[in-house]
Amino acid sequence: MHLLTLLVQVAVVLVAARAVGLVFRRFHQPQVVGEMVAGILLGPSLLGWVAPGLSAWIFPPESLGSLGVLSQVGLILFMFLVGLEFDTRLLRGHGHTAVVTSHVSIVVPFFLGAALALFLYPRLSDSSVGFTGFALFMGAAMSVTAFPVLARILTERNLMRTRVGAVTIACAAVDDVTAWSILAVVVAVVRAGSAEVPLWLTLAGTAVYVGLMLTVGRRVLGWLGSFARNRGRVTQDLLAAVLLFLLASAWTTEWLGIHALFGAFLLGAVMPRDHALVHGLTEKLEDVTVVFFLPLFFAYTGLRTRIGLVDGTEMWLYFGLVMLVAVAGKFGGSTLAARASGLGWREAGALGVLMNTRGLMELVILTIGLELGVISPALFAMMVLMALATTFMTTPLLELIYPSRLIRREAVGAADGPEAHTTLVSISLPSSGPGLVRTAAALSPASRERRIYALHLDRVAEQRLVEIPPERGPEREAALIPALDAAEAAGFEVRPLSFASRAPARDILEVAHEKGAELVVMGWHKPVIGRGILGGTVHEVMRTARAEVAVYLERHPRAWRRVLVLYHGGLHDRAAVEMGRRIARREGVEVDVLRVEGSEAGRETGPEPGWAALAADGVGPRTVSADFPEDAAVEEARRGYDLVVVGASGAWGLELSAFGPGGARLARETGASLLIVRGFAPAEVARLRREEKVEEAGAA
Amino acid sequence: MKTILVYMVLVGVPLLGLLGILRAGERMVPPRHVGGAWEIADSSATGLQSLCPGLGFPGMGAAIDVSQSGTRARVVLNDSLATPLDARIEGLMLTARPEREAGAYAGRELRLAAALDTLADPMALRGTVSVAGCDACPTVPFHAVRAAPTGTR
Repeated sequence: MHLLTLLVQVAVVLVAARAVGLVFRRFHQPQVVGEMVAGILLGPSLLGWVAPGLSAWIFPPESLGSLGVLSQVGLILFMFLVGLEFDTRLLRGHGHTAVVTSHVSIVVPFFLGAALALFLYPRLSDSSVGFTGFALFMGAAMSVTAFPVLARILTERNLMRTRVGAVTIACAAVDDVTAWSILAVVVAVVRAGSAEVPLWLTLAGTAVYVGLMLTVGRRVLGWLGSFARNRGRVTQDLLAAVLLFLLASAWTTEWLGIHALFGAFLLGAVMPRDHALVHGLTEKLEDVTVVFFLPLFFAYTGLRTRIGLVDGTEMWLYFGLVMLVAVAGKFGGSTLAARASGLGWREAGALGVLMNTRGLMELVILTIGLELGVISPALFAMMVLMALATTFMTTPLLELIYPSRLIRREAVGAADGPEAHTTLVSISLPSSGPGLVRTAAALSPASRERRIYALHLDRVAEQRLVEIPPERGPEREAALIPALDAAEAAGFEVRPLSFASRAPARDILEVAHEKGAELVVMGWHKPVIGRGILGGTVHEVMRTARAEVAVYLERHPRAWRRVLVLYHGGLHDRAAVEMGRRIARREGVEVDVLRVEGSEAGRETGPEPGWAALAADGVGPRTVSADFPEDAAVEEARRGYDLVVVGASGAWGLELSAFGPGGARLARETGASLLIVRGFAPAEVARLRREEKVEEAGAA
Repeated sequence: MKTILVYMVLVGVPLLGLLGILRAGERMVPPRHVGGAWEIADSSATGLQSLCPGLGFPGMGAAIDVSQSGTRARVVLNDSLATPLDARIEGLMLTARPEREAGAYAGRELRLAAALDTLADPMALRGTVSVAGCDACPTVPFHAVRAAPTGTR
């Protein structure tokens, strides 16, 4: 019966965590914030309040022990992973800015937290807790920073490679270790009153244990690193050995009178920084910890959080003070220190906002405090609310102080001079990179200097617990390496760009604008079916880019020898002919133009290309008459062409407003590579947007 | 030089202030600790059980859970209704009445008033339980002793 209850509890918790997490993600919040909120909602603050019967059925008090044990196991794994991600290399190279800022960002909130304790101790504590333990705990709780959440936000907002990002992550790493060390002392002080082990013995034992781990432990663990390196992966035997070390370390620190979580964190921190080992362990443990165990911890925390205890003006006033002290200490202290250390106000403010993120690390510390009885249930509820509020406010405040548009502009750099023809190549799959940059090179006018940017966008999708990419430049981005190698082999330069993106189409358009790109080249990877034959991102860019767009479907990697351009009239077909001309001049290959007459189907009006000038470049049209231009095109394309260049027009089933399945025929029924070209005219973009609005209104 | 000055001001001064706070706090007197589980140990427990028709009350040996937050506390009677009471602590006195949402007692209000006997071993709560709004319900004395604490180790 107990197992059945536990299974129901786990299922309910997982569903709630995923659902609320996804909702928060839609509002550009880290998913973990939503999962924390889900835990609160499952507790007495909501479910127990609106449906006490259901709450008592799902979470009967006598069954919570099992949930508590599972959540503790999850926390041990989590703290191990946090320690594993702690890398002293993060601290190097940031000079006194990181040192001063990190120390201030701990000491100032610690001081303010202790000062607040003077006010709260007679109001929200009791005689079972000494003032020293209470004040030190409040200080430690105020000075914590959510290192994993912060790292995630830095990555998502492309701040990791900026100066402010580098200093912030260094400060957060220092804060993490310092806060946990202080908390270990606080726990020892608080437990000293009731435990059988005297304080001096706890502190001395902890110091000896830490020393042993840093020397002997590190050497022993180094063998595990060698083992993983030799095997090239983390085997099941190795994983079992690491888990045994983890349990032993957690048991030791718990026995010493601090907490099992310190042992877990310490083991992670002293693990060898061998890539195969760290990556392998993270890979094997992270998902189950993030998806399974952490939501259980959040639910267990939520079940012990009674927001209702923050009741009445007096209690909300106390909460206001807690918030004020938390924000003033962390945000204010960090900002002032960063500014005084040489960062600009905007950067210093961004750093302060980031350091103010408490996240789930605060929940971990508060849980320890509640279990020890250092903080009362009402103060626990206030501090949980503070943790949620400070985490929740990070993204909007950061957007206000350091807008993502500005970050992107700084990452992308300034536009090139008008003398160069700039092409932006968007690369999502590494394998498509070489073909796309070669296409971009061929599509640059021979009369102008060419400048090509290769852009890779990392989609922000799954939440990772400990995701700190190395501080590498975009030239080290794996997805761009094949493209860069191909460009180097072909003898032209490609400049790499890479960052994380929530809205790839928008970001491609903005980067194109920032760089003054006249042409955007993209790949066609999607199956050739349905309305979205080019995929949402490509379709969006095709519709709205303020530049020419070329979408390339590579059917074979060989060089183009024979190129066919299809022409039926209109802006996009004229652009296709122009692209054919550029290919002819850049590549020196044979380019044929098939000019289809005799049908008004899909015909777009506009001036004809200058055929005489084109003929001088070896691009001469051959006119045929056909009732159905697409049939003529397919028939011609089958005659041994390597590449077919076609405008995004109705004649070929490629209307931008519809993009129906007809366009797939050229890809499906011929073996040639396909280049779909969208010409650019400002009025045309405006027309397409109007049509889209009418379509949407009709659908609604 | 500027960095050292900044460090001294933003790190050194708060650290000194912290020492002052810890010394000042030593003299503070917090509310008495009444949180935790209490066990009813009274010979008049039968009177408690029949306190009010239709309402249960924990009998002898049953536990009363007190969740304390400073001068406030939430008292849960382990009766058939798991009645939650909102309590105030002033000095050694604890007074409790139902939380607003405790509808089961609508019209009749359970009241608990007790004094903390810190000299008793184990510590005891001695007082009375009454039901306001119920003429037939007597005011009965009760006596609860602190249950053995359960630690985290």
